[in-house]
Order: sequence, then C-alpha cells, then structure tokens
Amino acid sequence: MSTAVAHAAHEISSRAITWLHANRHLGGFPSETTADLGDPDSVYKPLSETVLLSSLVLREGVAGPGEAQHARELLDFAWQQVREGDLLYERQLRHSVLTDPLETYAHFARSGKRHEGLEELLAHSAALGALTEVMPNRRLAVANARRIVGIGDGEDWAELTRVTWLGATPQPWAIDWMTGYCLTHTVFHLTDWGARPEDMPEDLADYVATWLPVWIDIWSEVEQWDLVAELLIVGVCLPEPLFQEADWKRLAGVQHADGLVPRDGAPVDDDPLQRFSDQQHPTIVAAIAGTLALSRLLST
Amino acid sequence: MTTDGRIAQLSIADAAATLAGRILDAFHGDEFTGLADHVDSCADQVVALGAVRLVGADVFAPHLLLSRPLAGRDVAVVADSFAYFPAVGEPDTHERRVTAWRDWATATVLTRLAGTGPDEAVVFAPPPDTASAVLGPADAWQQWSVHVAQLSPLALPEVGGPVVEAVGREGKALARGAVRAVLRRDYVNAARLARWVALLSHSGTRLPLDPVLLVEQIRLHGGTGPRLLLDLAVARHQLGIEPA
Amino acid sequence: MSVQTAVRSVATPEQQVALGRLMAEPETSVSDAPLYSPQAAGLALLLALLLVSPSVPEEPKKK
Repeated sequence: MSTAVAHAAHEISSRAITWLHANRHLGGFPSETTADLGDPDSVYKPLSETVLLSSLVLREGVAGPGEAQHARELLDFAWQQVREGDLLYERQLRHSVLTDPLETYAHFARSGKRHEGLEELLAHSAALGALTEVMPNRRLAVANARRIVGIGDGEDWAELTRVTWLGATPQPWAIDWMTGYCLTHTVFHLTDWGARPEDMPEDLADYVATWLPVWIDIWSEVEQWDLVAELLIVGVCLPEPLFQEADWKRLAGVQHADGLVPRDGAPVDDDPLQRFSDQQHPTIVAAIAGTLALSRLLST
Repeated sequence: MTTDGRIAQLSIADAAATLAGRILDAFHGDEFTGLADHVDSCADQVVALGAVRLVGADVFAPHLLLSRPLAGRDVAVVADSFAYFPAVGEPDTHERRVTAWRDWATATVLTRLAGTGPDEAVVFAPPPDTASAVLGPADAWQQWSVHVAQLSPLALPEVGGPVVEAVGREGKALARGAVRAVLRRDYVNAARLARWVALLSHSGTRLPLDPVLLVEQIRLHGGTGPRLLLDLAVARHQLGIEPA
Repeated sequence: MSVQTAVRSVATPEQQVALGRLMAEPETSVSDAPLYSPQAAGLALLLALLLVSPSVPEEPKKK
C-alpha cells in the first residue's frame, strides 16, 4: 500500500467533510419548497450528492470518529430537508417517470433511512417500465439505484453499458469535458462507487487503465480539479486500482486550508453563499475520492 | 535570447519548412529536385544548410521510402551542413544529446544510402549515448514522449539502433504520449509521435490505439505546416495508406 | 562544390545555438485541452445526474 497516497487521501477527505459539515446550513431548501422544485439544480442536486457522500463514508467505515459523526449529521440534515422522504415520495407521485427521486433515495436507503410508500411507488414504476428518456450513463445510475434499493427484476447491464460512451471504447482522444463526466459515471454506477470493481467488464477495465493516466494528466494541466477528482475515483474503482502519488498530492495541494476543494483554477468567490454553491460539488467529489481511495488501500 | 538569436532561429525554422515542402513534393508524386539544387536556389545558403541539418535524416525520406536515387551532389550538401554547423562535442545537456542522436541518424542513413562512408565530417559510427540517457524513464511517459517526439527523424526505416529499440519496447507509453499531444491540441508534437506509432505498427507491435485513425485525426485538425505534413506523409507511408 | 564557394566557412554562433534549440523543440507551453463549453454540455446539465458536474463556470474559460 502506498502510505503517501493513503495519507493524502485521508487528509483530503477529512478536511473536505469538515468543510461540508460546517457549511451544511447554506445548502438547505427555502422554507416554501414543494415537490416541484422550481430549480432542481440549486439545492436538490447538491443535497442528493451530500447524501451520496455520507452513505459512502458510512459504508466504507474508514473515516475517523469525528468525520463519521459529521457524515451521520449531514445525512440526518438531508433526511430532514426531504421531510424524511416525503418530499421524494410527493415528487415521484406527481412526476411518475422522473428518475431523480430514486437516485437520491438509494443512498438514503443504503444508510438505513427508508420510506415505505416511496419504495412501493418505485417498485411499481419499475414494473411499468416507465422511465423518462435519459443519457445512457444516467440509465446506469437508475439500474444501480434499483440494485441498491432492491427493486425491479434486475437489469441487462451488458446492454446498458454497451450504449455508453465508454461501452464503445472509442479512440481515447475522442473525448471532451462533458464526455469525461459521462465516462466517470459509467464506471461509478457499474461498480456501485467502487464496491464491485469486478463488475467492470474486462475490456473496459483494460481500456480505462490504459488511458486514465492521460485524461488525468491533461485535465490536471488545465486545472479542472472537479473532473480530475472524479477521474481519481475512477482509478479507485478499477479491478486493478490506479493510485498515482503525484495526482493525490496535487489534489491535496489545491485544497484550501478550511477544506474547500476548488472546482478549477479560477479564483474562488469571497461571498460565503456563492463560495459554498460554487465549490460544494468539487469538495464532495474530493471527499468521496479520498474516502474510497483510503478504503481500497486499506483493504488491499 | 538575443534578437540575433531569435532571427537565426526563425530563419532556420522557415528554411526547414521550405525544405520539408520540397521533400513532401516527392511524396505527392512530383519531381524531387534534389538537395543540392534546392540549397543552391536559396538566398542564404548557410541558413539553408542549417535547415538540411535540422530536417536531418528526413531529407532521405524519398530515397528510403520511395526509392528515389541519391545524387553525389546531395551527399556533399549533407556533409557541408556538418561543416558549417559543427557537430556537438560532449553531449552534456538534453539539447546536445538530442542533437547528437539526430546527427547520428542522419549519418547512419547517409552511410547506408551512399554505400560508403560519407565525407569525413560525418562519421559517427557508434551511437552517441545510451537510449535511457536521452529518453529518460518510460514511467514518466509525459516527458519521455516529448523526448521521443524530439527524436522523430529516427522513426524511419533503416535507422534502427538503441533508441528505436527502446521506443519499440514502450508501445503503451508512446500511445499515451500521442493521445496526450492530440488532447492538448499540440499537433506538431502529435505528428512527430504518430511517426513512431506508425513505425511500431509497421514492425508488428501491438498498440492500444488505431494508428490510421490517429494519423487521420492529426491530418484533419493539424493545419498545413510542411514539417507536420511531412511527418504525416512518412507515417502514412509506413502504415501503407495512400497520400492524402 | 558550388555551395562551399558561395558561402562563409562556418555558421555564426547565434545560428549554431538556434539550430541546437530547434533540434530539441519543446512541446507547446500552453495546453488547449477541452474545457466546459455550453455547446458540448447541451441538455445534460439540466438536472444532471448525481455528481455529474459542478455548477458551470460563468464564461467558457480558455487557457
């Protein structure tokens, strides 16, 4: 095991979790929020991502006692924000083909926060075969969420994977910034965020192992820290995990003293609310990267 | 760098582009005028000889790849380029090591083509150094591949030697370097690396990318610089695809 | 040799240094790697999947 990587990974995640915990109240819903969610990207999406992080910290069990407590409190905060699942339930009831209630709920359910009515709705929706049309990697997110919650009759993972960008194993330069995110998510969902590395089809694992260092390199050079941190997670999720010490030290190096991890090389806003809303995502990603890396390193 | 230095660099680079354009003509089926006639036609012949030295072994690409005959006057021009730009002494810096290897490749090819050794000025029988001294470790594939690109004139058939063998063992590092260059949109470097990719592919090395698509990507995006186009023409020839 | 009679006997020191630099040309100093662009993002950012991307930069940034 690489002690230097483990050390950097632990530092990154514990500091990031501390920052997210300290600023969590900046990420709550306005008081009059209904299931329609005027702007789902403003609070709902980041809140869902906070749930994802918390569920992974608790699943992996490698955080120190302080960070584990922070993760539980973040989870409780989010659970209270969605009115113990009622908001997700109402949203699914009103918009039956949307997938985001399921995607958000899966990580609550993984952590033991369950909502019976919502699960009935989700199971019914799976049985109907009703799903809004989504990008192929997003369809994998739904498959993984159903697998986590335990609904549906299983999915044709091979077919779902084949139609993603990664599934086609394109020439490795045929990628752009957004496609980079599509690639990372295909790996996240296939492996359930690193829990099932062996579920990566062998040819895709070889392909990613060959080219991941290139993608990490070119996006590090142009300081796209959010995407780089996601690519580091991809490395952790591989059957033969990729840990390059320089990558982790670089990410630790750009993390601010208070734990914030900047989205990119642009200056970070001073206004506390703007700062939180801009930098919450990369900080969550970095926290997940550090958590999963440390766990994988300790288990190998 | 001084103004004079900058001007010298620009003029040699310009002259090298012109020379590369001449060589490229041969690949497009046009008459290859020959080095001596080309240099004679240049206003500043020292600069033209600098360009010959810079283009190096690639001046023989039409002879090596297209079986064009080599004229005695052309051999003399290459010898002149070494006389006017003396070979580096001890290769004690990276730049000097690269220069020494490129000169070695020029001399090696010239010796093969001319049958006998060329002018006294161009005798470099032993390789100047170890391959690892000039390339560095392949684990550091980013820097390694930049060094490989700097040695692109060695990616010709008939050159061989320790650098070619060393690069041939590192198909993955090479492929990564080439993809990195394309993604950085540094097409000059990408084309230089594509030549190595083509050389390895030609010799049967398995590579994790499609060499033909790589060359085509660079052709479609890389602009019209004659030296880049010459690199691509050499690569295409090695891959057995028709000139674009 | 027509060339030898027509030119000076050796290149200037500036020319020799210039040739050395050109022999070992570095890669481009600035990368033009793909960055966020509204065209490439398309609809994907509209309620994108979990973690898919940060809130987008205000201006497409060119390095």
